[in-house]
Amino acid sequence: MDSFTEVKPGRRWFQKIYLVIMLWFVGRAIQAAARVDKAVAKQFSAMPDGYTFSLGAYPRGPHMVVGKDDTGRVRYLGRNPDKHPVHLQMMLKSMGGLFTLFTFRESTPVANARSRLVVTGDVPQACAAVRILDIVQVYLLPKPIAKLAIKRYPRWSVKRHTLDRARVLFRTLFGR
Amino acid sequence: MLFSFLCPAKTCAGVNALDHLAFELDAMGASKPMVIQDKASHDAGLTKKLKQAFSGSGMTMGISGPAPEDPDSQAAAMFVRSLYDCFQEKGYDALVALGGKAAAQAAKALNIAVSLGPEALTSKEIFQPLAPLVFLPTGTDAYDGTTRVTQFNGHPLSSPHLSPDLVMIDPRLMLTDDRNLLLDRALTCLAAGCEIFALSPAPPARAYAATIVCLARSALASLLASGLKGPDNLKAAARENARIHNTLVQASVMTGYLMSQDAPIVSLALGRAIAGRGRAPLGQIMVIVLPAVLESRPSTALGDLYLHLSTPDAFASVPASQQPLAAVYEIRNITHTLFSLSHGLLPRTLGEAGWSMDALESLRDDIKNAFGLTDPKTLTRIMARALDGRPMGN
Repeated sequence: MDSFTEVKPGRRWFQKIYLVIMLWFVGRAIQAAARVDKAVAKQFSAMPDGYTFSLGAYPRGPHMVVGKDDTGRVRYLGRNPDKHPVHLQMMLKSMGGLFTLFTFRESTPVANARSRLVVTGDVPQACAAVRILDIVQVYLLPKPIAKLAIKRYPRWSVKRHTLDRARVLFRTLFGR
Repeated sequence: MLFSFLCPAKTCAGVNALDHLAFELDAMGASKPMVIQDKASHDAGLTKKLKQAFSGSGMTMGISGPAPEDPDSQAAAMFVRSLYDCFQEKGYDALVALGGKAAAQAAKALNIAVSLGPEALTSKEIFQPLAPLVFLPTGTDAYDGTTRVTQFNGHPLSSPHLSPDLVMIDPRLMLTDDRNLLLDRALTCLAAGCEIFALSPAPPARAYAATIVCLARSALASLLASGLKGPDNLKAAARENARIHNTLVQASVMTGYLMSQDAPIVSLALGRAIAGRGRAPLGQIMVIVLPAVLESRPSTALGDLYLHLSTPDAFASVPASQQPLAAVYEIRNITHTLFSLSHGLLPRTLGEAGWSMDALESLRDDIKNAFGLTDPKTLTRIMARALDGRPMGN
C-alpha cells in the first residue's frame, strides 16, 4: 500500500531537560524540608525506615526517587528508580502530563481528578507524599505560582515563610 | 424484572486525553499500534497530533492512508487486504481508528481478519476476542464507531467483541461539523436517549440514556437559542460550534453503546428506513416518530423523562399524573420550534415531509427484516400517528 507510513515519534528534549532539573530541585528540597520543617518531618515519621517513593512519567521518565535510610534520614536518591527498591511509585500517564504539572498549569489535585496520576503502592503513603510535595512547592515557589500548583495556599507563620524558606533553599542548593 | 446490559468499552474524555493513549495501549498489552484514518482526518492532518501524543513513549506506529467511505466497495476490500498484509509482516498488535464511520468500519474488519483470519469476515458471528481496538472520534457520527456492529463487503457483522476497547475523546481531534449536521445529530441522540430512558427495562441503560438526553438537550438548546444560522460574529460562531460539537461527540459515543443493546431502538429503526429515502434527515424523522413510539407502549419512566427534558422547577410544577403527557409535549415542541425557526422548511409530521400511508406501508417489510420489529399492528399505529402528528387517544 503506497500511502502507508511507519513512524517512530520523536522525543521531547526540552520538556525532558526541564523536568530533570525540576525533579532534582524538588527531590533535594524534600530532603532539605524534612530536616527544617516539622510538618514534613511528621509526614515522614509515619513512613517506615527504608521506605522509598518515586515520582515520574510513563514510560521513560524522568523520575525522582526519595527515601528514608535505615537511620530515618530522608534522602534524595537520584533519578533512577531501577537502582532502588521503590515501595511507592507515583507516575503521570505521560511526560506531557508531568510537564503540565511542573509548569503549574494544573495542580496535583486537578491532575489526579483528571486521571493523569497512577499510584503503585499504599494509598495513605501516596497521600502523605502529595502533602509533602505541596509543602515543598510552597517553600520553593513564589506565592502567585504556588497558588497554581496546590489546592489551597497555606497560612504559615512569618518565621516559616522567611527563615525556614531560606534554610530550605540553602540546603536544597548546598546541603547534603 | 430481567435485563442485560453490556458496555465493554472504556471511555476517556477531556483536555489532553490523547496523552494517555500510549499508557492505555500498554495497559492492554499493546506496544505497536496501527492507525487507520478516514479522509477528513487525513486531510486535516490529525495524525500530527497523534505523533505528538506518542512522543517520548518509544512506541512505533503505522499510519494508513484514508479509508474508503463505502465499506461494501471493491476499494474497501483492497484497502483492508493491503493493511492485513502490512499488519502481519511488520508485527503490529493493536488498531487505532481515527475519524468516523469509514475508519471504524475498516478497523473493525481488519481486526477480525488479523485476529481470527480473513475467512472470519464471511462468518455471521464472532465468538473470540479480537486485538485491542481504540476509537478516536473526530465527529458527531461517533455512534457508528462505538456500536458492536459493522459491515464489510456487503456482509453485516455483529459481536460484543466488535465494540472498541477504548474510546478517547480529545478536543484537539475534533473536526467541527456545520450547524445543520450538529442539529441533526443532536436530534438523533436526543430521540434515541428519550426512547431508551422511557422504555428500557435495564437501569444501567437508562442511566446512560439520561446522560445522553441531558447532553443532547443542552446542545439543542444552544443551537436553538442562537437561531439555525448561529451567531453573526465568525469567531463566536466557531467557538460555540466547537463547544456544541464536543458535547455532542460525548452524547454520540454513549448513544453508540446503547444502539447495540439487546432491544432495538424503534425510532432509530424507523428513522433509518424513512430517512434513507432522502426526504428528511435521520434526526428529524426520529423526533417526529418518537412521540408515537413513546405512546405505543406503557412506561412508568415516561414521567421522569420530563425532568431531563425540562428544568427541575418545571418538573416540580407539573403533577406526577401529567408528567408523561408533559414529556411527550416537550418533544413535540422541539419539532414545532424547528418548524417556526426554519420558516416551515423542517417538517413536524411525516405527512409534511411528503410521506403517505401507502409509501410508509411499503417500508414495513424492510423495517421488519432489518431491525427485527415483529409487531405489525404497533408498527402501523406508530406510522399512522407520525404521519399526521395526532396524539394517542384522539
